[in-house]
Amino acid sequence: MKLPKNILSGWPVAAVLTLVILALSLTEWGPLQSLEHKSYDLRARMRQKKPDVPVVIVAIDDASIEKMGRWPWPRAYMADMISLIAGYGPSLMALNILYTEPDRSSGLEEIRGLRDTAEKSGVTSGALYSAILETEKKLDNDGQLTRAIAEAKNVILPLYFTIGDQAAASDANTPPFLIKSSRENASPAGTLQGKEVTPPIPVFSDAALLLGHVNVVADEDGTVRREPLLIHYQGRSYPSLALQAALRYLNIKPAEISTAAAGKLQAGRLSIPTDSKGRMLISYNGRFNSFTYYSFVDVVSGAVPASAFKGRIVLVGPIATGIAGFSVTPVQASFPAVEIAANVIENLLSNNVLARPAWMRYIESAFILLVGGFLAFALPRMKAGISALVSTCILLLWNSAAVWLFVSQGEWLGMVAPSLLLVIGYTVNVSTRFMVTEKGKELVESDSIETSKMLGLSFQGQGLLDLAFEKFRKCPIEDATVKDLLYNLALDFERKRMFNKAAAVYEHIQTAGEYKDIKERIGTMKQAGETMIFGAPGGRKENTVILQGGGAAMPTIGRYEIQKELGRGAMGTVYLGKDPKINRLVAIKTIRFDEIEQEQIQNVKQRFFREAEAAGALNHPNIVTIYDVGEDYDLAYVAMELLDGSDLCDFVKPTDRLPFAEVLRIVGCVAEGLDFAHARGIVHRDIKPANIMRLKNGDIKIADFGIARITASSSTQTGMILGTPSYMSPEQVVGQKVDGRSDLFSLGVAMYEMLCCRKPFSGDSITNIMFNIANKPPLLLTQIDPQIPQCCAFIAHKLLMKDISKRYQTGREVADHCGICRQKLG
Amino acid sequence: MDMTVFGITDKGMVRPGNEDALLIDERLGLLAVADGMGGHRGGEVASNMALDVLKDYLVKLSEGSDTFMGNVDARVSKQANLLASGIRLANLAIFEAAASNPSWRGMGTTIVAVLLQEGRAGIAHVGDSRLYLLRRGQIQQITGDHSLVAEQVRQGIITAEEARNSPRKNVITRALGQWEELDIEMQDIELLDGDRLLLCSDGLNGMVSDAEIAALLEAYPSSEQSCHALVEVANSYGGKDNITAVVAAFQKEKGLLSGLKKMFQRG
Repeated sequence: MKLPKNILSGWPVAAVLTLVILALSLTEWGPLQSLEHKSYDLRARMRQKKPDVPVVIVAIDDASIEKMGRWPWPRAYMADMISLIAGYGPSLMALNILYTEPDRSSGLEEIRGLRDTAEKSGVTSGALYSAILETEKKLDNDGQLTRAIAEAKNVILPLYFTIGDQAAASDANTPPFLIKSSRENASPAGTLQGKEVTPPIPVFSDAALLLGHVNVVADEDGTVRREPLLIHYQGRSYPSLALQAALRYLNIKPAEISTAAAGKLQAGRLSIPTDSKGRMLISYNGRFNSFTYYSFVDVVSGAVPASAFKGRIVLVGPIATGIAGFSVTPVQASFPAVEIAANVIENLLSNNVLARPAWMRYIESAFILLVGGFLAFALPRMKAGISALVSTCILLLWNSAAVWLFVSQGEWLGMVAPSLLLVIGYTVNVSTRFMVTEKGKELVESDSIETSKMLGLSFQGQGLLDLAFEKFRKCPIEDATVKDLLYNLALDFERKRMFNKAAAVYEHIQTAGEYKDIKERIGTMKQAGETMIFGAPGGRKENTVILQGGGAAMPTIGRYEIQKELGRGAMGTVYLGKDPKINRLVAIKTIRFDEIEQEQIQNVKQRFFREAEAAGALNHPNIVTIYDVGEDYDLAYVAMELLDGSDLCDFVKPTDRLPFAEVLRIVGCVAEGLDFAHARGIVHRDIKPANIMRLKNGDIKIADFGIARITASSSTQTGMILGTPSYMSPEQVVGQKVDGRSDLFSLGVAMYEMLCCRKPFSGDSITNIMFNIANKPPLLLTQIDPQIPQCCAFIAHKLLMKDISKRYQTGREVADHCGICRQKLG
Repeated sequence: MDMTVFGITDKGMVRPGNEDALLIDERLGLLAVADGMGGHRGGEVASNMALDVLKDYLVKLSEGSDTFMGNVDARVSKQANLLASGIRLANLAIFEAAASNPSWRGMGTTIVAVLLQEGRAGIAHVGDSRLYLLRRGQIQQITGDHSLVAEQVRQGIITAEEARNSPRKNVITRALGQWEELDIEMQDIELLDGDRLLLCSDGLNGMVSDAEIAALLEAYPSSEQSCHALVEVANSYGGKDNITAVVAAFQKEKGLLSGLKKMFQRG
């Protein structure tokens, strides 16, 4: 069986894996997305650079709180600061502090009540009244701040939306301060929707130049990567505080904002790439404190020069612990909202934008498919080292491209999905490879096709091209590797100038369709085959009679014309021959002397002819008559009586058991034949069912007298493989000299086998059988089958005595006993 | 282990041709000797085919083929099993080649093969070609002959003395190319520093006694010299059969240089 290629290593796995990753990537599956975000964050950190924009931050920091008292401060502090900075001539101020309630903390109500009472009682002047007014004015923080904001003329205030599905389409009563800070937008495709708005108190809102929302929207993993540039509320779009500030700085009105182009927000000269929800990716300039910070207390105390603010965008916001809003950002886990706004402004003003254009997705998908193709088709064909190298290169190439695009071009190319596919695919491939090689160590048996291929290659390597072709023919021709093997074989045939054979191979390949240039080659081969004139292939010195070929002359051995092959035996081939002189059909048995040593061959041949001639003299009805012996070239042959019957091999099978009386008759006949031969000093040496013929007319004949063991016993020099020793006598087994009684033992084995269909001496190897013959008594026949008559069993066991002297001494005795026993059986 | 190996095959004093063959492939760590039989060059063809096919098979395995012939015997090492697999393939090749060509009919061959890896030797053999191990001056016959007399001696039918004088001394009970199925004997040995292996055909051990072989190996520490000496002595005793000897000497790699060399070879 061929190694089962692990299913995991095949392309279907790679294909499924690719499609899964592709689907996950396109649907932005959470875990994959969060991995991608992690890679985004890493890249974001590499993108940091010193900001170069006129943005300063006035920070309400821990030092300010310490010096100016607990938060919240009286709003007058803020009013003072706004007035102060306004005096320095900033471009604009943006407050990241949302005052949604009027200030009631300062006792203003009391003073107002006092004033009302005074006015009601007619006191509208005087020191006390003016003191009341003075105090009221002083305590009226909101009033002061309103005035400061109004006087500064360039203050942008925050506003907050509760995000959610919109409550109502539009409201006729939208206050003017909201209208001036937004633009009408009836079709807010995909943008964030506000459910409820929380503006500063109306006095502030009216006084403010513009309002901008300060909603911070985090991604699923809680990290703030995007700024929602617009929030849609009641039919209008509201820019964020940062966008508002940038627009204001560039003198662009909110009404000029256009989101008509997909994936883009345009306003004046600004063109900002956005995602499907109208959000902008924030390119962080660095960790906290990348922008110029001034402590609130320093500003108020006048420690900061006016030049620090002139013409600049001044952001005011808290960064002190406990009062500021901190968010998780790619660059830092705790990042104040005011600096996020600063970053957004920087991004907008210096066009330092990050984008994820729509086509990125196509590139990623295409690349995922490409990686899939690599995993499915290229990787399995690579060696381990190469595959690791190539995979690493692909991984590095893609990821460095992604990093480069991000860092220097501001374009966000997905890293994770293709990398993940490559890593998982590679791991699967390597681990299955490992499993396969582990399996390889277990050495699984190969199937017959694989064996045929191997054998074919071996033969081809040996130059035995015909045999190789025979083997390759057994392999499925549809297999590309088989085609290749055949093609190479055909080329080998060509090299040997065996053009017809080459053509035959090409034609065999062609049965499975065209392949390479075989069509042309067949043409060339046929032509070459026709024009070439072949000499006789090799010397015609083959030692068997050549039967193939339609030659006119009838092949002969000696003077016998060969009609056909009758069969093949261990020693040689048996042919049907005709003696032309007397027109008699004979059986011709040829004997090879291959195994016999060159220097002995004469000797052995002499012995062979001597014995065969002696056997030829044996004229007995139970012995196959030998007519003639001779030799032709290297081939010796015996011409003998042609018999119409079969040997006894069939009758030792349980299905074709002979009646006991018939067994006795056969044994009796063989014994008579043996007796006749032994009396003339000729020992058969190889009595076995295969050498006993039972003719159609019932005659019993012993075949192969004298020649059976000649070749075997002669070839002692190099070693010769023994046939089955089952019928050997104990004296044959140990290599002693044998006489006729050895034949009787062998006859006993055959008789035993015919009686019970079992061999008296068996074993799982030649040597075990031999050992048993020499040492173990056979099982009693009557024990094996009680039906077997006593006298039959007696004859068989007496033939099988290991002690030669206890055996029957002559065939005559055996024949007589068989006769008596038959009479007993009736 | 560092190996120095040398092999030699000689047709002897009597035979007209050489039906023995030998194979040394240091890259594969493969050593083998085959002794062919069968007239009309059949023996020569069989022994050479056996070794060629075995080598091709192992080369293909080293190139990533995963074909394995027959059943795995878990009791012995992978190396021994691989040898057996290759020998089974060679057996089939010879068997079919013999059936295809009348002049090759009946050809067969013995084989003894060793596959070395990291100080271990996987061994497979069929027939009466032998593997000897010479360790600290003691010679030990590792393989048991698959010959009639050897098996009869093992079973106590005849004595060792009778075996030496038996006319059937050369009758073997197993050989490649005879049947489609082949029973191969496999084993493993661990090699130690200073060990020497001798693979030989019966033309050597039939002429030269084990003690003499041991003495000759001791006398000539070089693999090459000892091969020449063994063949020379076998010929001087009559050289009745082809003589083949492959001698491999093993030495632990020593020193920095070999360590470095090893590192580079691994890399």
